[in-house]
Amino acid sequence: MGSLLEVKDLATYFYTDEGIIKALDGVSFSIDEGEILGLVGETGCGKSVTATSIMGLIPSPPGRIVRGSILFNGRELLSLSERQMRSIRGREIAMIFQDPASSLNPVFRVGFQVAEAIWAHLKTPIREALLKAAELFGRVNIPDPLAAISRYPHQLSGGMKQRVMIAMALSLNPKLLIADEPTTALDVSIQAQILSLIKRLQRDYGSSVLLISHDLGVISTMAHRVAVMYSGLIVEEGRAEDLFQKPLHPYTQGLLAAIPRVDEDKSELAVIEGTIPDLTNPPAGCRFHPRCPWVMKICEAERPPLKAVEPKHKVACHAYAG
Amino acid sequence: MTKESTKRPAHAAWRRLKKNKIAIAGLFIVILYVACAIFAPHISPHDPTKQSLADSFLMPNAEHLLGCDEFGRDILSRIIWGARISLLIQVSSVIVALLVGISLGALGGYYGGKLDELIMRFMDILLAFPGMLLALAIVAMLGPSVRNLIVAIGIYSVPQFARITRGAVLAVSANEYVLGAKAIGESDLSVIVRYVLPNALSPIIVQTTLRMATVLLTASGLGFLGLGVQPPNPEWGTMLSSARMYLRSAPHVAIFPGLAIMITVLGFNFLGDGLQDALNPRLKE
Repeated sequence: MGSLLEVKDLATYFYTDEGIIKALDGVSFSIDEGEILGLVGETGCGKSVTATSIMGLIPSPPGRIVRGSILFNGRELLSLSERQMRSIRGREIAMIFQDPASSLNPVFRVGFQVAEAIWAHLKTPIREALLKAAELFGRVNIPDPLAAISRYPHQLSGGMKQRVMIAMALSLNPKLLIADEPTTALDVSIQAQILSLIKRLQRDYGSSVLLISHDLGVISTMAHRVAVMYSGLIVEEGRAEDLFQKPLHPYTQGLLAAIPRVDEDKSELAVIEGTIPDLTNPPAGCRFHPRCPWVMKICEAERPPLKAVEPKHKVACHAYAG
Repeated sequence: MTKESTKRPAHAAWRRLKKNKIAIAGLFIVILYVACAIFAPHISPHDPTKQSLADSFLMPNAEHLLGCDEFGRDILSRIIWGARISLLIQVSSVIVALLVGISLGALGGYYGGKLDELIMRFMDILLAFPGMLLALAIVAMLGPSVRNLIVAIGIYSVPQFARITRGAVLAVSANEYVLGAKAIGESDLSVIVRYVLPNALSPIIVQTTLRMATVLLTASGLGFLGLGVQPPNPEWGTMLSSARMYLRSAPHVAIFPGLAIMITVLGFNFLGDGLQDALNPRLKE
């Protein structure tokens, strides 16, 4: 299986009055066909900017992709015109958003919105598209799909709205599905249902998924491979089982240690000291060095490259050099 | 399909509006006014321009319910026909202002940046003129006629609509469904027309209603100054203007058109305020 999406040295900056925010500063990763890649990291580390950069939906101004390449199915997305990009959005790359409450247009019935997405790309007559929408609603386990298509968004619960969003995303059978924190705004019990739904549909449709989350639990149950982001960079990448069994980067280790466990008797939660760096003026060298327990001299001067230290397990850390 | 599933958001707004007595009074006045305008030939008791010097300054009586003016024309008929001209001016000039204002405001709000800056600074320049003076200057330049009146009032109403639309578009564009629409590959035009504007509609509706009142006042004001509708056409401001000379001897000639203006403007304002509360229930607190 070849890789469907290959992101290389992607850098997205935001030019604001307070200075240049280097939201992404050289991000590289790839997703194979039929694979779920989990992208984890703290709030503000650049996960969502990665997603919107791939979709070509960076608000501009102030945002701009300053360098790098995004190869999708052999095509360079960054060189496409807006019109060409529009035919890829939805049709080949679809996206699910974090907040289902504000992701649907409140003035149209939900079935119509899904049908509209189908119509926009395939010019399917709206009546047929509505039937297709009802069929999709059935696939995402919305009860009584034929009645559900004529509901307005405010008449549906959060979980149901997210199912509608998933149905809309899947309506055109995209090759890549970007799910940006798809369950963060939902109750835990609904979360599990939505996640297993995404996993089932991913298997049925054979799509690849870029799953963005700050929740390591979500990532560990879903992803085949995991990339850990810190301050606009990928610091570690590897197969899910390797990465969770044997995390290499001190940041990943800190993240995993910070998960409270019921079987351990600890009175205090483990934390990573310090705070995430200011992206207008990030620390020189390795961006994690001010918080790193293993900090060395070289860390303050040189940015460590992302290198494979074990088969299929890459890390960007000077401690593994040589 | 259950009954509940077909309920539109507009129904909820109508339910809230129905509870507001003042708004309903406003709606009633507006309906009466529009009916007068539409059915003027059928309901006016006399010809509005037919003079009868014997009836000059006739006080209200059974034949002429509101009396007669200086040329013996029936005032009630003139007021009813006046509604027709006023409504024509209001609707056409507000449509002009809506089309231009919404387009400019939506473009500015949606694209932002330099385009927005350019549009809004231009609107600021228009706003810097006192409204009446701007309309006055345009009419003085083009000459007084109903068409020029509509153009003048339309132009001077554009900035209000542009600003309101821009603000609403900015707020709506922040919603994820707008990003979502782009993410399913909708074109900018389609995003603006189908996703942004329908959700930005309520402040525009309120502004349209309130603007109807302002436009009526401006049109009457211009008529009063002799730059609006020309006599012998019955327009309320023009009627008021010619009646002012007889204010002492025959006050009823001025009072009735004045009352017509006042009641109609009040009606639109009541309705506009009511719509504001009905469409944005959270704003009320």
